[in-house]
Amino acid sequence: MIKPVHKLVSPASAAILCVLLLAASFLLTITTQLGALFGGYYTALLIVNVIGIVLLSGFILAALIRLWREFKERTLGSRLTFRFLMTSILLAALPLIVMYYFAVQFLSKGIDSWFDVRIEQALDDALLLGRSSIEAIKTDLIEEVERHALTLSSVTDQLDIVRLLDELREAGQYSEMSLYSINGGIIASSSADALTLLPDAPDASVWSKVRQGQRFSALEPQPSGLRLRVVIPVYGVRISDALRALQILQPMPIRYSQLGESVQLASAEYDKLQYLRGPLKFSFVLTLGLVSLMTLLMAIWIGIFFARRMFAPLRELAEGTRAVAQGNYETQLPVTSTDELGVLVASFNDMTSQINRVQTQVKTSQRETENQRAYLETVLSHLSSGVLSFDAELNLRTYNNAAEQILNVSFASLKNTSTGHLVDRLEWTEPLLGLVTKLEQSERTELQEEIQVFAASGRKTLICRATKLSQDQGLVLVFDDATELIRAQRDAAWGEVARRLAHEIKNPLTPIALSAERIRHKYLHKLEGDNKETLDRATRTIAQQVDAMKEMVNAFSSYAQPVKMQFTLFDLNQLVRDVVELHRADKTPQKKSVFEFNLTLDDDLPIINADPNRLRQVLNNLIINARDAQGAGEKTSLTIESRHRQAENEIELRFIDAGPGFEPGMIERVFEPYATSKEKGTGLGLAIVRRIVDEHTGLVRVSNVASGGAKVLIRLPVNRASDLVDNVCVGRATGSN
Amino acid sequence: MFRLAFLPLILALTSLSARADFVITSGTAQHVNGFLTLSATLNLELGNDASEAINSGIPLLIAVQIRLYKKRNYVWDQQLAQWRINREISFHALSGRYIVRSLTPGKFDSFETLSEAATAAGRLSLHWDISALELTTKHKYDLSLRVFPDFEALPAPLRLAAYLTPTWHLGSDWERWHLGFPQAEAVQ
Repeated sequence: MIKPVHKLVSPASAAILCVLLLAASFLLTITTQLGALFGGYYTALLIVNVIGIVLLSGFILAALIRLWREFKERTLGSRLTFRFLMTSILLAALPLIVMYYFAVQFLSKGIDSWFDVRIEQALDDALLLGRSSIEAIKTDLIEEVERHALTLSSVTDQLDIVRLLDELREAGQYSEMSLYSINGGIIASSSADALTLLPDAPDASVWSKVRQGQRFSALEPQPSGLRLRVVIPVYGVRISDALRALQILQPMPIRYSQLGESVQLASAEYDKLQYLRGPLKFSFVLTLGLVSLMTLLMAIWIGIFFARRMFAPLRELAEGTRAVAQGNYETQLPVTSTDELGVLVASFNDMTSQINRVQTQVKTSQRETENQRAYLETVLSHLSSGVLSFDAELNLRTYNNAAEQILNVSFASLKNTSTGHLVDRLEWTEPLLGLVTKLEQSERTELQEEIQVFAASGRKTLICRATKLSQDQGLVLVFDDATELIRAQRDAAWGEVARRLAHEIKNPLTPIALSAERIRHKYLHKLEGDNKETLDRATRTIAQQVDAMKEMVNAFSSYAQPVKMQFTLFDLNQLVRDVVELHRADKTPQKKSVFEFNLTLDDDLPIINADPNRLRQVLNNLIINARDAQGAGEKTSLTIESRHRQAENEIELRFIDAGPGFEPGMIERVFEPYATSKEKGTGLGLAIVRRIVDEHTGLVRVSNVASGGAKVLIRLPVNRASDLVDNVCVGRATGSN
Repeated sequence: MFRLAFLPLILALTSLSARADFVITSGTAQHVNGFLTLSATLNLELGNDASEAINSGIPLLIAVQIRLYKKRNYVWDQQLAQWRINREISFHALSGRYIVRSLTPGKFDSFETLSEAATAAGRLSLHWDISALELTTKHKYDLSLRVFPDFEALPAPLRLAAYLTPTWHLGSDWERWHLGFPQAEAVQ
């Protein structure tokens, strides 16, 4: 994996690089001087410096790009770092540039000051003087050599020539004296150095001059000093004599040589410096530039390093503050220094610790409160009593499911609504909410009353208890639906009455009937005329009234006594048809055929599990009720409908007659015993209907039809759970207009 | 001062017109009794810059690099040995003569003109013992040679200019000769 450059270059390695580059710069500065110790490494050092600068520039560029990216992304602390860095660069660059400018000027002028016209002139004059001196010696030597050549011109014998050369060389103190043929061949030679085998012959350019009859003389530098070489053509005495050449080599006196070399070296060194003036300036400027650039880059590098290091705690602090602002109170920053920033970071850590501790406590309290609240809500939601709580301004604060179920109202949209507004919305709740207002206006802390409300689902009897909460936090209203309880109590009371009545009345009826029959049987045939007719009418009346009373007592018994239910599977439609058929066949005078049945029965009605005898009684009672509701001789009808409610798996029966319907105020009491508007009848028909429906855990409801007539609706479950078969359940009978 | 920054460029432009090169005009190499005899003529055309530097008292070191290769058929040739011979041309202001100094082997000559000195410096006649290399006639050998001015021997301030200025780039290409075995050839 490739690391980023800024991670690759650690501060230590960067410091080492800087030190190495400084050393390279130092060496480069030394080598720039002429004849320096490390002169041989100048090029290498130059390359090392350039590579170092390139590397350093690369690192700095990477760091600057990273910094610029952070600056653009508005990373915390990047602006401060950037500003600090720019200031550092400015502070480092300005004096460096000024210093560089003046250093270059100084160097240039300094180098120029090395060269003085007078010195140059003096050196030239010295060199000229040296040359003149040497020239004088050379001229003397040439004259001597010409004299020697003249001497040798007449000598042709080889031995004479050798002898003469030796004499002349020794006399003139030459180092070597040689005679050559014009072709360059050695004729004779004499040398001061006995070990010299061959003379130092002149080169081709010398020979070309000599052949042209010219003299050659030159001062020749030698490793051991300076030497004069003179070559002179030697003409023969006779025309036929071949041209020859005499060469004399004479070392310059040591003193002359030393002085000459000294002047020559000084002049040469000055010339060299003069020639190198331009390159030397360039070299110095280049070196100075490289060193300055390197220093600037190092300053920038160090600036970046320190800027990052200096502002790292601030950046972390800013990030920590942002984290705290976002709700992370567990933020802890590393304390890396003991200075003011370190103290600031430590204080920040203390602050976040304290906030975190308080926050934890608050959260714990909140959690406990939430738990309490959830617990209370659970308790409230499972209470069978309705609970409504109000604040000090009597706005609805809380409610439970039981309150909604009892009142058949959804309070979700009515939360925080005042009691006045609630009464405006739900007028029928006035007695209930009036209790709240009443308690609020009184000095009492608690109020308990039994009230009745007329809700959409019917009249409700509520036992209410309103209590003021402590510290003026409002009040709470708890209420129980006592409607069913009261009805059950009333039913039980009526049952007891019916049972006692049946018992007390039924027993004397039989002796009364028997006694009347006996009187009739014993005295009717004995009497004549009006007496017989009176007895006959009286005994018949007694018998009829006894029968009527028996019928009434039997009805009481049916209502009062719990009957053993016998559930079987049967077709309810068929039962309806059987009962209707029986009533159609009933042709008693007061029940004429003006009563018509309309059956709309669902063919897909499932088989029901119920007690057919009890349901037969229900059907009978409802048909009789419908029949009795109309005046004698009036033509009316009874519509019976059945249908299967698949979703609830219930069978629904509807009985709709064309009579006058229920009288106002009767609907609520229609299922109560003796709640009847008929002149005849026991007033137990619908009470028994509701009881039987209740025994089947069904529902019965009565209402008036808008077009006229009454409607009775019965819903019966298709299947009955076995454990409920023998129980008599509290009915769900309700009435509505 | 401003001109200094453009010194290499100025030097390069001004010297383009006087371009000169070192050329190896001829040469032979022979192996005789364990000795290598090399004769070569190098045409050392010094340009204006180099001549001016010499005339200003700056010695110019001319390096001759010699390499001996053993020829091989399928891979590159094997380098057996490498030698370097240095010759220095300098100007003697007092005498007005140009000195050619052969550093290996030691030799000292002076000439009246620079061209004579360059010609003399370009005459190579070398003879040295290579018996340690144990050359045999079973193999073929080549001798490579090139000549170039040694910038590193120049004064430090002049080196950069020499490296950057084309007219200072006088070095010759490599010249390659077959190493002859006269004795063996004579036997054949």
